[in-house]
Amino acid sequence: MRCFGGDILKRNILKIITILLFIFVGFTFLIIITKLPQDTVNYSINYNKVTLNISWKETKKIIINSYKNIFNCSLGYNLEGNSIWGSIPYYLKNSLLILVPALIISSILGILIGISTTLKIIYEDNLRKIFWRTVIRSIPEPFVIFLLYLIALKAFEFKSIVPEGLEDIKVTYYILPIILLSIFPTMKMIKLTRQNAIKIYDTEYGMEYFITAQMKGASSSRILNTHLLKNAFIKISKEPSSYLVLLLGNLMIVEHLLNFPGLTYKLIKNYNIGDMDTVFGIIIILGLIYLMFYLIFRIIGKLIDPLKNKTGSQEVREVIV
Amino acid sequence: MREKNWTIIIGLIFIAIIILIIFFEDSIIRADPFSIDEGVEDVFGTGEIAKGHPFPPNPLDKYGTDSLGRNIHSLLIFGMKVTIGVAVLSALFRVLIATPIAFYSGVGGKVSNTILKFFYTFFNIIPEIIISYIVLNQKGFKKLRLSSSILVFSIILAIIGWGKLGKKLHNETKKIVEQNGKYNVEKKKIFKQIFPKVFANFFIETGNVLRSLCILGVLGITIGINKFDISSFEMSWGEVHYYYPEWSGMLNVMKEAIIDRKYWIPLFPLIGFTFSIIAFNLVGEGFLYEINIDENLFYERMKTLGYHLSPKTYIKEWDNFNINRRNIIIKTSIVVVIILSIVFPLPKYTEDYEKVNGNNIVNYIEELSKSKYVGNGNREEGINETAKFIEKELEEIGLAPIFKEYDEEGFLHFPYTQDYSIEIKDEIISGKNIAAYLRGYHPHYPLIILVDYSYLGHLETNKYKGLDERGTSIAMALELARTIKDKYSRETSTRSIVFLFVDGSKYEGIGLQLAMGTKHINSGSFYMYFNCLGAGEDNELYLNTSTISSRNTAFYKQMKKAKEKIKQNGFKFDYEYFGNELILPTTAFESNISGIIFSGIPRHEYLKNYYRQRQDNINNINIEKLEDSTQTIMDIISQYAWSSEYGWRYFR
Repeated sequence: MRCFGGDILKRNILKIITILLFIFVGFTFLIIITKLPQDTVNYSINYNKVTLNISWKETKKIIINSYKNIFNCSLGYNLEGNSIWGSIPYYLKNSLLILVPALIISSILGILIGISTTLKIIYEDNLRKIFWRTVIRSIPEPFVIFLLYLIALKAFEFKSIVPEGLEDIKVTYYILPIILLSIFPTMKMIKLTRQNAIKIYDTEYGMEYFITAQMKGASSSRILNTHLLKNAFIKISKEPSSYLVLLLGNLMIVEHLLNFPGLTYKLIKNYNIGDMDTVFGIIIILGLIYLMFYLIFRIIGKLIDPLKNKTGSQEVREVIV
Repeated sequence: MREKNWTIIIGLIFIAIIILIIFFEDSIIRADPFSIDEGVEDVFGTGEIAKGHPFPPNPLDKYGTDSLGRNIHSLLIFGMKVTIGVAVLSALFRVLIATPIAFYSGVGGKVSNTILKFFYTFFNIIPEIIISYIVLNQKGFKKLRLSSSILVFSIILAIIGWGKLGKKLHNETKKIVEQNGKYNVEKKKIFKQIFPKVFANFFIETGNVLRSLCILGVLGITIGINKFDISSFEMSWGEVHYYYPEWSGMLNVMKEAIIDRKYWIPLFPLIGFTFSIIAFNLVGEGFLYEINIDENLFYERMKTLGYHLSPKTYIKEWDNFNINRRNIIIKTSIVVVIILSIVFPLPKYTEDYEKVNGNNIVNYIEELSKSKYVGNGNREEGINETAKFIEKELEEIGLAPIFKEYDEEGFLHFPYTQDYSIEIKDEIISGKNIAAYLRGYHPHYPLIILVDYSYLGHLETNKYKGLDERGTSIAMALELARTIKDKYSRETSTRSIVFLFVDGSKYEGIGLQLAMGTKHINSGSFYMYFNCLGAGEDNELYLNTSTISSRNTAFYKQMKKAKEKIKQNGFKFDYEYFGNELILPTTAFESNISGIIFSGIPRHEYLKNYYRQRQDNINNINIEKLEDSTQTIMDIISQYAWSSEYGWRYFR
């Protein structure tokens, strides 16, 4: 045995300390950028001289209070004196009502399109395809949203901008945000699926794996679905960060442009009125949503992983494969 | 035969187009991007009357206008360098941060690995866009001048976004280390293999930063301070939060534009963003494709390029002259041209401009600093003394009077002054305009040298003299009158030149409105106004071109020449917006007269140190700067008034 128990313990303790340190630094950074007064960084009259108006005592107090608010789960109080956690559920519900369908649509569509086009790429990839893929991927999100909104409006007279102050949102107001929110994550998922499928085909399992399956009489759809898709998804489930970041980032644009009263809409609104405690609270909730989705991906990945019951180190698993 | 990499070729063509537009922006733009417009009524081809901006695309404003009446085409072209500049600079910073950290973490560095992990994980949990929005929306960053803002935006976007690039490069380095074995691989070899990927990723990162800027623009982030005082505009639609033209700022009103169906406002900056992102991504992806085919290709090509550029190679080539004749001729010609251009620079074309006399300016200022112009406590008396002095000087210089009046017997007189007395809000407002002119042989678009001569103001209980502000302007205008007259007596000017002195203390510069309609003083005139030109840093000049109405696109060509002249005369200039503090330019703007304000100081300095402050110390005036500024303005006037080439066909 190469590792002694003491070494493992030491390594794990170090790992936990590093994670805690990460969380502490991350939270403190968030507190500093959101909760320190706006005049902390000042520019003198000729603009070029930077002066910092930091009172360390005050800063320390703000940081400690913020941590207290995190630990007592109230997330602090907004400008009206209400608990932030209490004022958020309406916006959280709205955001989740468009995020979850968008997540499901984009994951399923992305994986299916990705996997069905993978073999084409493997056999027929050329510069022309790279060119067009790059062009399509380069179109910024606001442009696509702008064009689709115009199409929805002109072709179907479909109005989806929520009127200011509307509390009771009709189902129709959810349709366009879900569609718009799904587009870029779908494209990302297609890319992730293809990348991982090609990796599996090219390097990890090897072409022989698929040729053997073919020779054993497996249909091409079975090869795609069982041999490629499953393995590709397991890989995606381990690294869904870039996909989830895109989903949450796009949430901000969609909610802002369509006046949709979700979390990021509230974030922008409260930022503009200087309610930074609420902004901080929303960021924490967005972080939690990210972690929730991340865990969902990991759990599904674990569930469909054929090696889930196998124990042992990575090297042993590779030998089994 | 190997397939041509059209991805790189097309990407490079697109980037070349971007660079060409940035370099030749002045030739492409037809209207000043800073020019604003208010309360416009225009008849278009269809006969439709449009009131107020934004205008949809039309034959004159091909891409339409924004809610301040600024020409979107000009904003787009002029703003390109700012947006692309931030993206390129930020991508460069990202590469500079990510490469060493990824390199060391890839070869097993623990500290670098922890740093990389932190940034990558943190900005994955909280999306980069949300963090960027919160950081860049801080009030402090919104007060920054453009150059500082470009730097700050680049650094912040680099710090927030380098993690992904770092992770990518870290994986590449790790792969190389694993392939070769940790103890067998040389750092030089890793670098050789990583460098081409860093190079390709630089372009992809530029595209990524542009994408972030596009999204941040939609969310309301702008680069540089917003100098507009929004409350001072009566806008029919939307608010404008950006002063300096740049694409992110242009997208600020995307939501309002969608709701109000003013689609042209966000459409063109969105196309600009898309085009640029495609350009940079195509080059980056194209390079990556090449590198993936042959890892050494890039390095080999660079090596070959280095070999051909090396002086050693050049010397060696001389040994076999017959074989290397072509190379030697090309290289020698290039070297000779470079040496010649350094040793004998091309002579600059200089026109023979009339020289202003600095002593005269000093004499005028000394005269105006005398106590009689303060009026011994009586404000009106002081203003009258100043008016008399100006009138006497204009007569002495020999300019023609511009006003007309009939005496009691019906005879026509041409006085230098226009006395007025009108009732406004149950109050009798009395005052005097003083004006003289030189008639040009072209009747249109006369030049007005506009001066506020209300020399004395109130500072609560005290009186103040406006020596630095108005005293220097009067002195400059009189010396310009003298110099221009000398030039005019030798060669008649193309345009008429009017010297108009208005008492700005009288009901929001009512004098100027009353002078309107007098010959050569109308909405087709172009004015020049001077503000504290003997103050501030030696070589700094501030221009407010927002006062050139965007409808008068013809004046932009003259302004381009004026800017070139300012640079030639050794001044650094920046754009500045003055609000309602300068009364006469505001009145002129409201009366649809276009013009330009020259200022020695920026607005915030004016408000802090000069606006309604005591200015009676002659020693505070930087005479040398005042002289240089007067000479520069004289040169600009000569260009304008004696020039025959105009882009008049663009005039609405």
